[in-house]
Amino acid sequence: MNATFTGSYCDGETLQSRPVDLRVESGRLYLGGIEPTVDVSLADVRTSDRLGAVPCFLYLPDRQIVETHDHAAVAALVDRQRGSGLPRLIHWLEERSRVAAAATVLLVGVVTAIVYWGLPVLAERAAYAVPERIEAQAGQSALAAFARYLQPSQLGPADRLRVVLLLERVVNPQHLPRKVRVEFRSLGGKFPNAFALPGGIIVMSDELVKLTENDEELMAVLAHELGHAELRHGLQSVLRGSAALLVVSTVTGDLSTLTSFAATIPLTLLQRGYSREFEQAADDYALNVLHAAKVDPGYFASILEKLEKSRPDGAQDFSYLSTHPSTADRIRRINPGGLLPRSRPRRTGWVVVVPETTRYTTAELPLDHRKDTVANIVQEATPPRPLAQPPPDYPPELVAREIVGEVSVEFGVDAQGAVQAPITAKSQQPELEAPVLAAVAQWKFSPSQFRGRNIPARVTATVKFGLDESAAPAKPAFAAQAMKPGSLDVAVIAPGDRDYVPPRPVRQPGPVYPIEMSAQGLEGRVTVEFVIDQNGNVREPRLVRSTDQEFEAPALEAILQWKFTPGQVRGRKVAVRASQIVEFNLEEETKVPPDLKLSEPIDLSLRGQTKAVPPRKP
Amino acid sequence: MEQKRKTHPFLFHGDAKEYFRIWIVNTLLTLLTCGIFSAWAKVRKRRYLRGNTELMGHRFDYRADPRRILVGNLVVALLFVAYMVVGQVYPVVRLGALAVGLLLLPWVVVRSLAFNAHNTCYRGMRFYFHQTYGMAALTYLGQLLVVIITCGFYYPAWVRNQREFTIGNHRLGDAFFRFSSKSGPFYSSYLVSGAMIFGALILGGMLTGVMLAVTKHKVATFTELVPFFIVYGSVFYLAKHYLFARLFNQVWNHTRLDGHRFVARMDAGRWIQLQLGNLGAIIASCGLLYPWAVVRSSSYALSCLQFEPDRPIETIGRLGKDEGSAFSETAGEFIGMDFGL
Repeated sequence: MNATFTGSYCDGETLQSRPVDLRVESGRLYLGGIEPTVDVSLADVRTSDRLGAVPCFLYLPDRQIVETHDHAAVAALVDRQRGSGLPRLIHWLEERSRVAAAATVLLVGVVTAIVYWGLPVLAERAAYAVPERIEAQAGQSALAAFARYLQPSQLGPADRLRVVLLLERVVNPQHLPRKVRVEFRSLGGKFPNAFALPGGIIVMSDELVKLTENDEELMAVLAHELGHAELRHGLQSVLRGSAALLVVSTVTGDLSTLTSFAATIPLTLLQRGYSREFEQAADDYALNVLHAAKVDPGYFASILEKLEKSRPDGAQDFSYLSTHPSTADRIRRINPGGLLPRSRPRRTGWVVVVPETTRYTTAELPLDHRKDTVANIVQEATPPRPLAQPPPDYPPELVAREIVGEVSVEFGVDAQGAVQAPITAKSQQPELEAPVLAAVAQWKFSPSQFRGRNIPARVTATVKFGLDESAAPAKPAFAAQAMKPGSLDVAVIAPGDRDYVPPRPVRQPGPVYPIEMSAQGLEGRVTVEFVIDQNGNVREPRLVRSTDQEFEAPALEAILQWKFTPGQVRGRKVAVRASQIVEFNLEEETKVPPDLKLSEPIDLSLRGQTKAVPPRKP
Repeated sequence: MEQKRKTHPFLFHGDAKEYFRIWIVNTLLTLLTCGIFSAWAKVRKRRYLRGNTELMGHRFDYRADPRRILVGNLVVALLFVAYMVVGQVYPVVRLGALAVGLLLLPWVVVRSLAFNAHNTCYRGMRFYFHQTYGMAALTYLGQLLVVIITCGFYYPAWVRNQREFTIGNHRLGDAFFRFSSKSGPFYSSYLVSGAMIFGALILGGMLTGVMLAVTKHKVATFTELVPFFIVYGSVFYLAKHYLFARLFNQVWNHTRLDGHRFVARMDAGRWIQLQLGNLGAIIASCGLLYPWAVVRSSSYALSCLQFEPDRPIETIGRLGKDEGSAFSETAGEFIGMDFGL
């Protein structure tokens, strides 16, 4: 077969071009019509791949080229060579309209599938595969990025402790492998919010803590944010963001010049879709958690509704912090029956609070003179008098189940008359404890007085929950007159007593260094007083002083986990008051210095009554 | 008085349907091979555009080896992934990487220009880019400092000097490109587009402000920002293409190949009209009409360009040879010269 065709020839030395006749004969390519004629072995001829109607180039040795439109002849020539089949296959595909149509459908399908199914799956896997340390650093940088929206929290230690304890109630039944912690921040009086960051950080705004009217609502918020944290939503959205960018730039790599502006819009829409999906997942997670903690999902719905109402007009759409979409939809999902505890269920004649008995003892006695014996003080001191005692909530689901009972709480009344560190002393129904503790924390007293000076005191109060038809929900009466100093049983144990064996620490886990403090390089110390009870557990932790509010909650949290061998007096276990300085030191990490100061042993063993033993002046 | 010289038009033979078929097949293959095919796709697309550009009876040719581009792509992808992952956790590293990238910029620019030039041929003759890293660093980094110091006032002159650098270091065989334009026209072009964007900012701001006043919101919601973004975005797009048309004419009319000249007469109004049509089509088709837009743009841009030789171009001969590396080709793609060369 002798193919003859025409083209134009350039010798590669100048831009001169000449028309040329080409002929293939016995394995050689002959170029005629030029002087001198050229002939080369077909093995030395390379041809450009076919591409649309673009003319074909034959690349001969020594930079010579032939440019020709005769694709058929070149195709015949290529057939004789051993060339790669791939370019021809691609050209075959490119030539056909049906292939193009199919490719269009396939491309749209593949891109849609990747964006809507592939990316989330990949992002989820990747998010769970991220090492804990990296995740924590990601959380830290996220918190740092948020810093300009947030201010230090104004919450007092009692509120913080309440949130921390409630978080424990939410987290503990879940048996999570890692620690979740709360960071308190203020949004500067703006609308309340909470959000979860990578690494198990839950940021609570002061405004949200104040917005929650009862523990259940706060637990619902914590459970929802715990869902975000445990399902790695923070990391997933970051990963989805960069992965979407990667895919878009791969597919439309050369689109940047024309539509760099327009291409970002769908991504934004995508992100909003993701948040909705994540919110639903976190809601579902929260519902399970609340079920495990025996909290009515109605509280979740009620706090959502309050959050929605407390937002300023128009802020729900365009705010970085408010990632929560369409509250009405979510409430419908959470509580399909619409059984919301919007108002307290009214049952005729239910009675909540009857502080029947209160017992009082001095806690920190200002012993100026040796001659002041405890008995003196107890007899002379005036007891604290109640000023305001808002009753606890009676959780509606307990009312519905007709659960009644008594809860005794112990708490300190400080020299300003505020309640400090309330704890449960005795309870018949664990479910009733949280409402009582929350209510007691808000009680106000006129402080105890001793020779004209305000002194701190300890009070025991019993709150009775009953469904008594006859009794009206009367204003709670505080039975101050029931406190008779004579009913106190005081035993004096001298600290120098040879028979006294002080408690020894068994387990003292260090506190968590607050990330924003370490990020700013801030160090500090917190002094905490507490009681080591007869079982060696820590009770009634109380802040004495601290260099920085941010350190208080972590210090209290850590100390609550400590364990001791109980103190003993003549073979009998006794409670001992102790104080501890917790140092937050960046170089040696946070640590507990060995200087645990043990003061007077106190005896809590007798019939729930408290005996205080005054320390001696050294 | 110079005698009237014959001019030769640049002709573009590309066909939108044909290019669409090529584009869609190559894009799909790129996607199905997780991006590995992108190097081949890029070569084919670029070769289609160059191969359909005709001057004086001959087509341009693009002869890059896709395998080298693939290597460059892989290196860039690796660096990018590392940057994203590390930067997500340590934002400081991100800044450091940006600084290193900035310092490498002149090298990337020079290598990619050289690669691009080396693989572009006309009548069997390769273009050539003279690689001078010192001058590149001075042009791209040294003058960037001047731009920063003068609060951006020097920017148009900087753009002009970049063109002088890129064009002035190109040659075709033994014929050298030269670029000799004053900075004035660059300043006036940028001034007009700057004024357009400034006006859009004010107009868009007023629209949103009025809506805020009507709804009595203190913080603008997303819907209230939409008119602002629309006004700003569309005017930005207009200004960008106005600038392109003005600079296209300015650059080509002041470019010489030895004594040979180029004549560019692009009509800014028509160009903007064309690009608005492109934008609408691309948005409406979710990007599928992108190849159609490319063919339309190339066709019009080339129809505005003519070549005016001062003597037969056959006198241009060969002068040495050189090679380029694929790495910079990818990294510096956005700086490539898209038309003619």
